[in-house]
Amino acid sequence: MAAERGLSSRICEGDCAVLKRGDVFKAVPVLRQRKIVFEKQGFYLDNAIGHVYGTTFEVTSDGNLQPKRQVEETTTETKEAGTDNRNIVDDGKSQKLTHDDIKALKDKGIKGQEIVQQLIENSTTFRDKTEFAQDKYIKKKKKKYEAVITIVKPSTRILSTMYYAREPGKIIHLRYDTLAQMLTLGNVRAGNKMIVMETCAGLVLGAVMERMGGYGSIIQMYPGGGPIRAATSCFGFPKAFFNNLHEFPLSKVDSLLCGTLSMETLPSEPEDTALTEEETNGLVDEKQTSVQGTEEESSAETAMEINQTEEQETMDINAEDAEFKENKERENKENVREKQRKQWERMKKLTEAAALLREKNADGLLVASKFHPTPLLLSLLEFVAPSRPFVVYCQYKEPLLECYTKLRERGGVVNLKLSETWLRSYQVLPDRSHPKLTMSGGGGYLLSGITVVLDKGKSDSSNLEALKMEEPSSKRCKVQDLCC
Amino acid sequence: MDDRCVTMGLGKTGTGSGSLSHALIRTVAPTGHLYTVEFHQQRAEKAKEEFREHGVEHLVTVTNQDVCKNGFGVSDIADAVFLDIPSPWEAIGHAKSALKAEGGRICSFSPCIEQVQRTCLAMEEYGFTEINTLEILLRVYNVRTISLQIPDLGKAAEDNSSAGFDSSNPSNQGSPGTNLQQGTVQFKSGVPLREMVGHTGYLTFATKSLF
Repeated sequence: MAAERGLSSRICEGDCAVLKRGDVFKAVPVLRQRKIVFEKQGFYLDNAIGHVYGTTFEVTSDGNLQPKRQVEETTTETKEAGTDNRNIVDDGKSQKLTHDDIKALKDKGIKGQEIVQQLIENSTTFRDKTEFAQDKYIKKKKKKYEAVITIVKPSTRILSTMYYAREPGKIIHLRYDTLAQMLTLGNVRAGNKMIVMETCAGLVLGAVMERMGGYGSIIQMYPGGGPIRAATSCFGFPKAFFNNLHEFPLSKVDSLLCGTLSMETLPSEPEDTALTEEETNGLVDEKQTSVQGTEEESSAETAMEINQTEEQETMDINAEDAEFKENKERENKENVREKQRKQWERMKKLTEAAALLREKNADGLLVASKFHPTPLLLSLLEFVAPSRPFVVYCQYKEPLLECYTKLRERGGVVNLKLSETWLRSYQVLPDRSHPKLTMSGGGGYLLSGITVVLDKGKSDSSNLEALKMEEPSSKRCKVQDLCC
Repeated sequence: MDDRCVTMGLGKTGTGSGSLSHALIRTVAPTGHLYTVEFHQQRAEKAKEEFREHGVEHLVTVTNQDVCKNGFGVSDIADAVFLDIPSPWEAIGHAKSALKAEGGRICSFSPCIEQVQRTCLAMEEYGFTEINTLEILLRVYNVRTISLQIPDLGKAAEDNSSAGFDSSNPSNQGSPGTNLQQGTVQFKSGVPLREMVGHTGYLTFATKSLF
């Protein structure tokens, strides 16, 4: 058991690891002889392999990593300090070491700690600073010159923080606490059947997968040709987690809902083995096998045709080389077979995903995309069982206002809540505790609710009632105003 | 926001009403476990009963003791520890031993900044890193259709057409958000509540690491 734990927490080649320096994170693949540039330093990860995640390293002068020994904190003897800054003149000349001097120290291989010590000794104003100011100065210099890098194991917390800081655009500015809210409001847990629609590079998908721990199933809806899972691969999930991960193209949602889903060309397929076999709900299984059979035959035929024209060409070019021709033929046949196999695989997966969706019994829906949420919700909610939660994220409030209204008109939802989370971090130090200078201006908005049985007959009257009930006080006020 | 390892244990103090416990159990199920410590005997009993009623008793262990004096009752087992008690700084040491040797996360929740200060100091003393305090609030908006009256600024001259915002002008009728009745403009807004929860407590997170 302990050995197992040890294994999963060691850095292995091929892993996706996250480099951390202070508050800066960067996800990198762990590969030998691959130069990584992080925080103005270039180095190789080779020496890190085999160490436990969480190890802190220093970058040596030859670009390698070396585990940092836990050095005794040089307890600065009670230095003299001033009381306030009234006599300190900030003329930029208080540091006697020049850029070149510092560079020379670095080149000599002097450790960061030493450099900081040198800076302190060569600062004319240091001992006039207050203790707090001295503390702040040392912290600042340490941060700059003591370059230590920690290698940590990726997780939702780390990756969401990283993406929000480095590439917020890729995750449509979904702040990590908003993501956390989504997971809770959506009751994401092991065993669920979740529908996820996101354009956050796969971060939301990864967070959902992490929560579910490989149990249950996920159907990811995607726009365009295929789902983007760049962030998902950073998590380092075991292969088994992907067994119950399905995907389904948005472009086929409407036809799936109408029952006219056809197994024709998948969104990005360049090869057009376009077969418009209609598929009726009742006869899915039977038709499926026969459809696949004819598919293979006809595509084999077309393949043969392509083959023959190719043969013609090669004959012209390499008239003498019969063996070469043979090899080419074999190669072509193999390529075509490979393509057919892949096509077959994709069809099979699409069918599976469609079947799962058609059951209309998903345990939850999570939407976090760059698209307008209303059309997405109105159609994807059809696949969710009643009495289940759903959450929609939008970077802006207004589309969710519209979504709210449309959902009210549609009915079949209760407990609609439009919310936003406010996040502020603090500096906590003795006698110096206060909120930090900057805080996030906004982390996006969430619209959440719970599905209920959609009773078509009742929907109109109950919705009107609901609408009336929602706006009692404001309407009354307006009437009064108009009267005056 | 915190990491959750689905396979291993989780320690929590101050069971109280058990609502957070339920949320945590939901998260670590089915392969994880929650260890929760409550020093009030009645509350501990009530919590045990509720877990049983909800069919989750196999996922949680309730211990009735004072975590500050006697710890969690487990060691080297938790991926994360959550503290919701009046004097969390007294439990930091115990939290550290409850956490796995190779590391884990800790979170402490306190309403007062003084408690936070003491807790941060204790965390530092016990070698926790990445100590980070934050506060998070949920703001809810009510979706309302608002109608605002257009003020009557009078007429510049005797003729009917005015240069400004003319509500009776037919060209305005079709566009969204404009008057439905004479002299008003309607629009949808996400209106904040008049009063909202402004503070419950500060959350302090930290990491226990090998180094």
